[in-house]
Amino acid sequence: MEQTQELLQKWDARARRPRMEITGEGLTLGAGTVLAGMAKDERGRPRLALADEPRAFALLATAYERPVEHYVLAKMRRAAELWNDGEKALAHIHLAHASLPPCGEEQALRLFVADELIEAGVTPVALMKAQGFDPAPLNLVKANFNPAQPRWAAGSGRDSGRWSGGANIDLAGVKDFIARLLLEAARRAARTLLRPSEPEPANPEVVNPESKPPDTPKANTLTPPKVDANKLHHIFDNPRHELDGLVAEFGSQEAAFEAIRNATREAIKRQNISGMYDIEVEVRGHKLTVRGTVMNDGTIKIGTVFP
Amino acid sequence: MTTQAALENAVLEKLLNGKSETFQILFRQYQASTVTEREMTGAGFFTYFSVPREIPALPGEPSFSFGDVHAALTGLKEGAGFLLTVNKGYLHDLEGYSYEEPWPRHFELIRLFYDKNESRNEDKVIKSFHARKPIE
Repeated sequence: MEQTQELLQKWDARARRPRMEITGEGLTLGAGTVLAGMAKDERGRPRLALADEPRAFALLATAYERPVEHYVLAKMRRAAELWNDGEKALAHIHLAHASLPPCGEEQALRLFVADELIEAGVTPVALMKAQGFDPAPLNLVKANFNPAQPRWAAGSGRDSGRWSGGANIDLAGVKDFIARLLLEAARRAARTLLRPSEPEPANPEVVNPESKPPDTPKANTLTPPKVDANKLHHIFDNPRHELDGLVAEFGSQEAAFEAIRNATREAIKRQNISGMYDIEVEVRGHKLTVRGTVMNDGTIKIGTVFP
Repeated sequence: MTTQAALENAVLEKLLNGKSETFQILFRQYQASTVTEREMTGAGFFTYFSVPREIPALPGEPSFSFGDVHAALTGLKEGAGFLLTVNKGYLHDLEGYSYEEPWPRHFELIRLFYDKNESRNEDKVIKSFHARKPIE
């Protein structure tokens, strides 16, 4: 289990999606939490797979602090089928008809934490029970249960007191754990708001385009620069851009984008480019073409990226 | 107000305006093409085309991307860029992108221009084509 601070740093780096959305990573919600992953079919085409419905159900119950209606999963299932049939717009319409409330910061954080807990080995049943929810509805969605998911056998007794998978927090502590993370996240947000004279905004290129060009790249800034979620969607979610591998290596679209930006910045500096650019860069062995513009103040803007 | 379709047509006509065989063939494809899908990403767009197969493909059926046309639009301080992709000798899609600004819902096209406002050197443009993996 990662420590609270580590989890919150990971959380800070994620872009937010208030509605369910199908991206290159799968069906995502909140801070990029994947409810249904993207797999590949025998011809290498991406296929959306709602392979572990109990997990999705438990994640959503944690996010919204109550079990969701079964039709939500039915809509997700139908959206996956439509997306796999190439009906992307219809798939998103079905997701919209699931009528989930907007996933705000608090719901997104709950969802994120629930995902981390399941990743650490907590079963969906344990997650439901720990929050006082009846786990019985999980039986109704077990038809698609992934047998590969680590879980304790029924009657083993371990589920009653401990996380599975080696984690060591009492089940009774789940609610406290989530509450503690929420409180810490709120404190961090408050600290940020109370520091108006903070010397450097998270992303000076966006926040203050009139500022002087930075002397050196701010590669060591602790808080990752915020990147527009639409930009990430534009660049990374188009299958023709073939950037899934890069995102997987960096762990998130934001981190991959920053790596591309850093490589571009270096190349632009080396080649002394100004104005519009169309250059090739290499990021961890991936050869990419990056198009964008160098603004008058020296900041670098990225338009698009493709292999 | 400029419509999305009008912007795409203006960009394609400027991109495919050339005397070389490559541009002539692609322009004929554009005239016969239909839009099959359009995705607005919030930071730009992807518009996909279908070209009837009775229209000739580019010799050798190459796959590549290029885009030396830029736009000044209301609502985009830094303007927009475009990338046209040809798949196996046929027009495939046009991508429009902003430079890290939200794509405006409503806009007016102010002007289109080639790289660095220079007059176009077709050979140079053809040499700048980025080879792409064909889409099956």
